[in-house]
Amino acid sequence: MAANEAEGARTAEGIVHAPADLVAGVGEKSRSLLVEVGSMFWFIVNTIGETLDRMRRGRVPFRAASFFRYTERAGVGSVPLVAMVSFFLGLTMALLTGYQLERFGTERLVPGLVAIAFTRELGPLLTGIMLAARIGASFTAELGTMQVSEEVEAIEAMGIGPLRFLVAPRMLALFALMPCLSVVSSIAAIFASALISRAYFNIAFVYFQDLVLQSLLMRDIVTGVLKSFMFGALIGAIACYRGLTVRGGAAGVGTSTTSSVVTAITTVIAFDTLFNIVYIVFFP
Amino acid sequence: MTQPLNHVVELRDVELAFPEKKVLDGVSLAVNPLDRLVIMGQSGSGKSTILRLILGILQPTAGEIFFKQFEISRLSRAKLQQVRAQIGMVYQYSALLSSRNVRDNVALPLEELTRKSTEEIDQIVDEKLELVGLADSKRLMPSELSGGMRKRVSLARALVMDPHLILFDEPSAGLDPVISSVIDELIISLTERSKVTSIIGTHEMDSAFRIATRMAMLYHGKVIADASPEQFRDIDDPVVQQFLSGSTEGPILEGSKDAVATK
Repeated sequence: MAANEAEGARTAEGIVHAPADLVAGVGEKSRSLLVEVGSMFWFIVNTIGETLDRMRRGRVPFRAASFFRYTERAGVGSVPLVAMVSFFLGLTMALLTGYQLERFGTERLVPGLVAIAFTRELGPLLTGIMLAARIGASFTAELGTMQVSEEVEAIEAMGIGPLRFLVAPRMLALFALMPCLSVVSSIAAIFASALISRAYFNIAFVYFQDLVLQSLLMRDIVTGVLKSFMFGALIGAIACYRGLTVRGGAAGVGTSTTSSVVTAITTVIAFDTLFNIVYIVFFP
Repeated sequence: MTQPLNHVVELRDVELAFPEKKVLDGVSLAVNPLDRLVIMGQSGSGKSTILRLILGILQPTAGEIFFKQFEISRLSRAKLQQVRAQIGMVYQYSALLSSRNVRDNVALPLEELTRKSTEEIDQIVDEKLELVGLADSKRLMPSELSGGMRKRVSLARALVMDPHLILFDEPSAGLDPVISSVIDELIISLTERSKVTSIIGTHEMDSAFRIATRMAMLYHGKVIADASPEQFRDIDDPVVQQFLSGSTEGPILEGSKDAVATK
């Protein structure tokens, strides 16, 4: 009897405290999110600071060979994947939109639609997602393993700035290569759309080209390229930050790699949305 | 604060506390030029922590740490990096960069911190690898090396910048007694030949007595003994005596979780 009363009191107390606990939980999560965002911001600032410091002393910040190794891995190595996925997506998009538009006799809008969608939006976004998964994960796992095996500390102990030596070439490689891959993605999708347009909607390649050039504005291309630069830098920074903050051995490397991919993809999508809102509101 | 120039390293009342544990509680040590100071203590007693404090990788909660005239905890990041280039560190598990071969591991500090040409770098690397007896292993990757070879590569890397101080974290850990003796002999000959001061953190008694010109013992975050190897055996402290004898009877295991294993 007494036990039932005590149980009842505890349940009642739980119900009374539930809203407060919920607010506290949200507060705690928001706080840790802000701390994380702040740490990542200072990580980027320190990386740039360390790199500029080195350049001020008249030294190259990192070896060209090291930079090209990462650009090859991140860029050239990603071309088949990015091209293939974009090709299939372009194919699907042209098919789906074409069949809908055909009902109204406006299937000739397909080339422009696919071209604008990929150049401005889907090309950078898809490439960002693929690179976050393919290269971001590999950077995090690589740096994470170096962190747990004391290699990063050994580099620091030698008097070599680990941010400049390990992070800067990786970030710069993604920053520089992302727009190129984004262009590859757009071209692959437009090519796929040209094939579909020719096969199902009787749009000749020459006419397809005219329609694309008519509808595509320089502004669309510039917007896509600008976004790509930012996505590249963000993915690189997130991947390296997660790698260098690994704690807890092999399991920690696994957790950080997952977290790196999830954070990078979420950030790329969130940043894309923010960019679109700002761009449309301020530069309509 | 100034530092008397006759000490290579000096720790003054250094404290380091983590939320769960106070690791160092007022440690004072002075290391003279050409000393081979062996810091002994149980696992987790703070030996590696002292080495990391000297490198500026950890910051003390209180106290001061000097390397020559520099107070480590007050240096800017750029200055600290310059000072670290004068200190070599040999890690317990060698910490070689697994994606670079032996030559590239040893050459790394020269490539990154000096303006030497590739030919000059190659010459220095060859010379240092010759010193540790690995001249013919330049192209091997760390994964292809034995534990002793890894230690020797790590030692060559620590020597490559001609440092004023070398720190060794458990140099004999994970090695068989013969290889352990080889590494000890190497430490003695190289530090004497290069006229470099060294601090060695270890709990291997044989190794410690072989290498040391001075010995200090850490217990509960404090230095409880500091003497020459000859005097060290005669120190009348039950903790020191139990540590030297390796006995399970004595003050070290009192109240320790490890005591359960002896029951």
